[in-house]
Amino acid sequence: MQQQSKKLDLIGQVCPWPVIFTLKELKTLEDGEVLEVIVDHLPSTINIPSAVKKDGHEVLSSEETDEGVFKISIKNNNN
Amino acid sequence: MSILLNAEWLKDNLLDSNVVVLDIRSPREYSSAHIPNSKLVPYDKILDFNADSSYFDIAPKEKIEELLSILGVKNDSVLVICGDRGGTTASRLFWSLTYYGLKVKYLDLSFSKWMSIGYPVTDKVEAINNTDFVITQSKLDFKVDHEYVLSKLDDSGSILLDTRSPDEFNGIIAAGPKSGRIPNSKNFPWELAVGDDGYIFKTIENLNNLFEKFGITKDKEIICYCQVGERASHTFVALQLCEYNNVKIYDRSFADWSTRDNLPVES
Repeated sequence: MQQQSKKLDLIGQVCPWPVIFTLKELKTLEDGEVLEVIVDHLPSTINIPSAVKKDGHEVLSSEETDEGVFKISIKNNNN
Repeated sequence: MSILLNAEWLKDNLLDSNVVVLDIRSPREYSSAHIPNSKLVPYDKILDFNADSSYFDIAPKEKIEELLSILGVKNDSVLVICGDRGGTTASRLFWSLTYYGLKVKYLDLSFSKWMSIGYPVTDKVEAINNTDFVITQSKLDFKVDHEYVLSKLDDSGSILLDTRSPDEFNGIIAAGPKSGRIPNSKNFPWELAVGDDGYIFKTIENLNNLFEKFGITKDKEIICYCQVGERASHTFVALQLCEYNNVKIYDRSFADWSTRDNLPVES
């Protein structure tokens, strides 16, 4: 079955907000739900995957979808 | 001699093959438009990290040598860093290279500003002749770890400068598992040092006034930190611009400090 996904647009946000908003949003999701985080802050492409993996979530992909814009897909695992 | 390089000088010297502009924006931004002959520096190449780390380390010397060789840098190249979006990543690149003893200049304008005033840009990527770049200089001693910071907590000759937001400093929000700050820190939100109208930094005069207002004086050792070392990098360079001669950076920052059980945190 296709996973539900939710989008979190964090364009323009710099440290620390991308990580904080992503972790906060994941808490509102159901188990298995996918969150697509859109960021344009380069360090966030490393910070966010690192932070969410530590919280037990799964990073499905991370790609640059437009100039300087990245989409990080995270599968929620709220144990 | 100032660290900053005047954009107009660079515009007039773009054909000088000794000048190597290092662009630390994203690959797509670079592909779309960049300063002619500039080289893209992949952000992850200046870091050493793994998925289990809470923090980033500086890339080891060999990784930096490999990067600069691939970018065609020679020993007599004049390195100029070009960044955007406030300049935190560019500032990290700046100190990462100077840490290994390299002489580096920092373009005073953001790339966006460079482009908006009509200075030359291109989408062409020139072929690069790889070099065999070897770092021969000694490492500088401005990068410190948690043990060093711990030894300075009650040292009146040192100022621990937390460059995060006031809410992080006061423990109201946290970008990691623990909120709060390193005890006896002083809060200096990094954005305060960002210049107006596309300049990476405020003017030296304005920076000096700002640091004075915050009680950050040149007779003290200043140790900058943030969450993972990005924002602290900007303040670290701003202090150097103002000729603070005893500035350190705790690059693993609060992400490292807060995950060590035996270290004190206050909020």
